Amino acid sequence: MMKYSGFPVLVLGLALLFSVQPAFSQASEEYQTLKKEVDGLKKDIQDIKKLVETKLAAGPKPASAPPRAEVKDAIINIKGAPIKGDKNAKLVFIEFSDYQ
Amino acid sequence: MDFPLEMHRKAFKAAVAGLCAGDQGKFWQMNEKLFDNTTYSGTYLDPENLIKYAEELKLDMTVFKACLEGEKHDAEIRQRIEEGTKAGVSGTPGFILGFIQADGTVKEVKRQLGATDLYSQYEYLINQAFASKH
Repeated sequence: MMKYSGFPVLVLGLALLFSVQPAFSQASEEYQTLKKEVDGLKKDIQDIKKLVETKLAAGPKPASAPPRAEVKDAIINIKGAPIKGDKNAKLVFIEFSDYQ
Repeated sequence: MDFPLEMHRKAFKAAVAGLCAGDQGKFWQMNEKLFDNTTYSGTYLDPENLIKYAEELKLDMTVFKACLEGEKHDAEIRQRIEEGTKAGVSGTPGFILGFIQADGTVKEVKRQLGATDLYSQYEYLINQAFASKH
C-alpha cells in the first residue's frame, strides 16, 4: 500500500503545473507590454520637458514690476491734518493710515 | 494722515466720518472707534455703523449726516493721498519722520513703511532724525 500512495499526489502535481504554466506565461507577457508602455510614457515626459525648457529659454522673460523711483527728502504738506502733541514741535511723526 | 486705499472700499467714507467728527471737535474719539476692529467684523465700517458711532459720541447728527453724505472733506482726503504718494507711500501704515519747516510743511528725514509696533524702532528713527539734524 505504501508503495503506491505517492502516485496520485504526483499526478495531481503535474496536472497543476501544466495548468498554471500558460497563466504564468500570459502574466509575463502583460508585464512586458506594461513595461514598454511605461518606458514610452517616460520618454514622452522627457520630450515634453525638453520642449517646455526650450520654449521658456527662447520666449520673452516674464514682466517684472518697474522699479519705483526712490523718493528722498520729500516735502509733505500736513496743513489741516489732525495732530496730537505739541503744536510747536519741531519734529513730526506722520502716520499714513486707512480704516479697513 | 488719511490714506484710504482703493482696495479697502469702505475706507474713504470712514475717513470722511473721522473728519466730520473732527468738525465737531471729536476726530480722535471717532478715530478710536473706527480703528476698534478687534472683532474684524465685516460690517463695522458700514454707513449705519458710522452713524451709530457719531451718536455714541453725541455729535450733532443733522450736521454730521450732512457732512458724511456730502463732499466737504473729499478733496482734503485726496490731497493727503497725493502727499503720501508723492512721498513714496504706497500702503498703510506708512510712517514718515521729519522736521517742520518755516512754511509749515514737513521735510522728511526718515521713512518707515509697513506695520511695526516696536517702540525701539520709533526711538531709533527719532534719534536718527536728530542726529541728521545736528
